[in-house]
Amino acid sequence: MSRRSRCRGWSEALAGRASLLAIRLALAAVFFLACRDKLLHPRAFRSFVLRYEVPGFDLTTLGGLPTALATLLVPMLELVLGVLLVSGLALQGTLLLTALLYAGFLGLLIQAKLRGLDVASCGCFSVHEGQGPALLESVVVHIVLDSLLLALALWVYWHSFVAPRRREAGATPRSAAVAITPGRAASDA
Amino acid sequence: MLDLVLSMLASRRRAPLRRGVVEAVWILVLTAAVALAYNRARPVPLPLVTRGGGSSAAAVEAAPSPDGAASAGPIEPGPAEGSPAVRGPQEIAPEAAAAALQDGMTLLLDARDPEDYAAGHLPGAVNLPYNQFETQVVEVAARMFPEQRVICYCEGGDCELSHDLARELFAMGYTNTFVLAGGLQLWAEQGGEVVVP
Repeated sequence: MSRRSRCRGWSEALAGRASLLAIRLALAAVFFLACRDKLLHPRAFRSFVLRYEVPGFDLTTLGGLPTALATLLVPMLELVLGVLLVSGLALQGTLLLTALLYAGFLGLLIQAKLRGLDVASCGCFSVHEGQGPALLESVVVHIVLDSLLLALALWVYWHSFVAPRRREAGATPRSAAVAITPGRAASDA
Repeated sequence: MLDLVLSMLASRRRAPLRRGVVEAVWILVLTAAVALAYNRARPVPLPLVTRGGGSSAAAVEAAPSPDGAASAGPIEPGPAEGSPAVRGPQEIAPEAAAAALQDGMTLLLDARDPEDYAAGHLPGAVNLPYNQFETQVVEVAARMFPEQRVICYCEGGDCELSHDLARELFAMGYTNTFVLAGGLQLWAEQGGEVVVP
């Protein structure tokens, strides 16, 4: 058995309903943990948004409207995605947004690291500098963590929506062949 | 990982993303509506637009000369939109702040966390930690009037808390709000009294 097919075998074995649900719950738990402080203290969270110095997200562009919208929308999106991941409602869109959100976070953290911005505390779980667990606030740790969460979201998406369709598509020609030759079934009988 | 992404893109025809994209758009729209409604329901909503765009940097650039003469007088409430006075809170030098505090009409706000406030603060200062603004501002605002002259400070010249706090108060309509230049450090260096409980 080739290494690739062995990996695929492991992946298929892990992709049972229980494991997919467990990963969804884990992703939801991370969202719930991350949104709490940001929802309670939007002003403190806004000061973290400003630290990433993304063009357009300052207090002068459109009177700070993009910054305010990001400050209000991101934690609420984390909460809503957490609820949807637990409930399983609109799962395809939820997983897409989850992956996009983590990809966005990852991009932000990497650009901050590359530009040497002063984001010793990333504001990912706590908006009170120095009060959250130091390890959980480290930018490098979050680059690794967000990569892992992004991979998990894509993996769940793949095994929930893409892989079943592929299997279905692979099975269709044979069943279709039987379905369109009723005479054969009758003669077999 | 790359293999997974490429496979997803390659099998797009068999697993159309359209449904997922439509769901994602709906989730975003509903989330935006809930987020704005939640903000509106707060005791002190986060302003969507900062009046006059008064950023910390702008306030520092607009700081008066170290003698503070330009900032000693009160700013009249309700100035015309677009005039220099509505661009954001200005800095005030320690000597000018000390003079302003003599009239008994000036509220001094310490924007630092309670532990820092407890370790030492300016005489008569009220603690309004910027990090707990949402939960504590209502209580502090109850003792303020619209024309109130307010001076915010934090640890030193580099800290942002006093600028952030002053900007929020300014956005709430307290346009006679100042930031103590150099913070507690410069105040102490210039011989100002610091209360250590």
